[in-house]
Amino acid sequence: MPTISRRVELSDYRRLWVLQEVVLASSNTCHWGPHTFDLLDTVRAASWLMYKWRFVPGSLGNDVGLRCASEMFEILYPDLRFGSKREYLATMFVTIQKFEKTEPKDSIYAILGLLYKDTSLESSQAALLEVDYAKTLSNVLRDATRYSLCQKGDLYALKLINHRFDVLDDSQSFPTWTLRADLQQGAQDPSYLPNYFNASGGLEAPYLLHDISLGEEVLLLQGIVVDKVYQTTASCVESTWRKHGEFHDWLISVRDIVLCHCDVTSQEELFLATAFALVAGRARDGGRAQSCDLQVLVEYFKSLTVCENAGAPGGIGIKNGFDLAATRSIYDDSRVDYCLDRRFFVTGAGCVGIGPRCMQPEDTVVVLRGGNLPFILRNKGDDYWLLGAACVHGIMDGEAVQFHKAQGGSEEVFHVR
Amino acid sequence: MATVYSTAQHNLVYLDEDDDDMAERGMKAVQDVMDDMRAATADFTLMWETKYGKSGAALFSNEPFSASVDFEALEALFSHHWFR
Repeated sequence: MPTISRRVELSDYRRLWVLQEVVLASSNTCHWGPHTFDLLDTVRAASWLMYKWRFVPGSLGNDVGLRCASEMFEILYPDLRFGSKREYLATMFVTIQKFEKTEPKDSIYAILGLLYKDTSLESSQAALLEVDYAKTLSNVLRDATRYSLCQKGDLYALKLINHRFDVLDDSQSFPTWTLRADLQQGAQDPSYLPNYFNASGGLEAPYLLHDISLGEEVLLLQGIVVDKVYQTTASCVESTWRKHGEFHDWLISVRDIVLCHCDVTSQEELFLATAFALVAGRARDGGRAQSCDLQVLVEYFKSLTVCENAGAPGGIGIKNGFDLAATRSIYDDSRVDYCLDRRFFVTGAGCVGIGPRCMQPEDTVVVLRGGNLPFILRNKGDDYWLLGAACVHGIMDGEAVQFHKAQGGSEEVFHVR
Repeated sequence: MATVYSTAQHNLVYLDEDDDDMAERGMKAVQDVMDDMRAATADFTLMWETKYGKSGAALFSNEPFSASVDFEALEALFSHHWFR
């Protein structure tokens, strides 16, 4: 068969479509002026630059093009372990969100050719993904989200949900459980919480994800109520996060909530739990954090507490406690980037965690079937809103489920709109 | 669309003209990054193990690049609109 060469250009195929194009061809060459680059080498280099981001200048590390190129590598590389994300729409959502789309509905339709065919689904579920540009964007995304939940049989897609505003609007046009694949996820957006937890360990698999008996807008989630949110800090917005002095002040607000509402019999353990929550249980190298990985943050909180006990009145004394070098060491040592655009909170029972920016006191912490992270729901009459995933110290490995069962508690079905 | 794409065996991706004489430096920089990667991953055979470890969670390196890399040229390369 003769080699068919095609020229990939923006004017023909825009953005996300490019991904499908390069993956389905057997080889790709980039032309930059008179020079040619093998595309696989180029995206492989991008992937390595992301792996070594600590040694890469910020202007390159935060470049959208680099992030997309690195994402291309994961899809292009022949090692099947990388390509395995093509098996599920839920895992492809992470890729989709990184790219630009000129037509929002293409956030779904432009990757259908990349998705491995799934023949195990019933026709009513498979139909959720059928191309139909006459459908509203809201319905396209809603149906794609439900497809991804049914296909994977867990709540992976829901942990990517990240409502952009601090306050959800009562008249929003999307169900709160719809993944906004049409919006582009940039380097400045909150990072997804880590995957290696098992908060729902001990619960069975969900079996109501496909159920539309209460309407297509309603998702039925099964699980247990863990606790109510008692108090939250302000959302750690980007301008706070980027300025050491302001981030220091935000950490003070964390400390104040913790000392005020949690059982302070062991300050060391309390600060350890707080540090665990702030870094979402993640060590600097990306693995799961052990106590030794949290020491820098724990010491920071301890030093702040000493500062207050020294008799400095009110906030001014604390402000003077700001030590640039110490705050810098937190950024260097800890994965505090999970705080970005999230709130720190304590629950009624005194658990500490970080959760979505739109959460507030009285919201409900739940553990759901098929969800390896806890979620924050808001009660709305007979229904709930899904606000997003959380990391809560002490319940990330199924402890809440065990406790609930030991108490003889039963599961609930949450109607989420 | 998928059918159309999969008939192409070889794609030519047009990035841009090389107005700032960056392309040659960019080519060199990609090779330098590849050399760094090759040494750390036993000729790419341990890519997955290096990037994801046992837990499957993305890891990040604590090892600086073994030789200097022309980051400016890489930034020019990846800032091409095509990649987004």
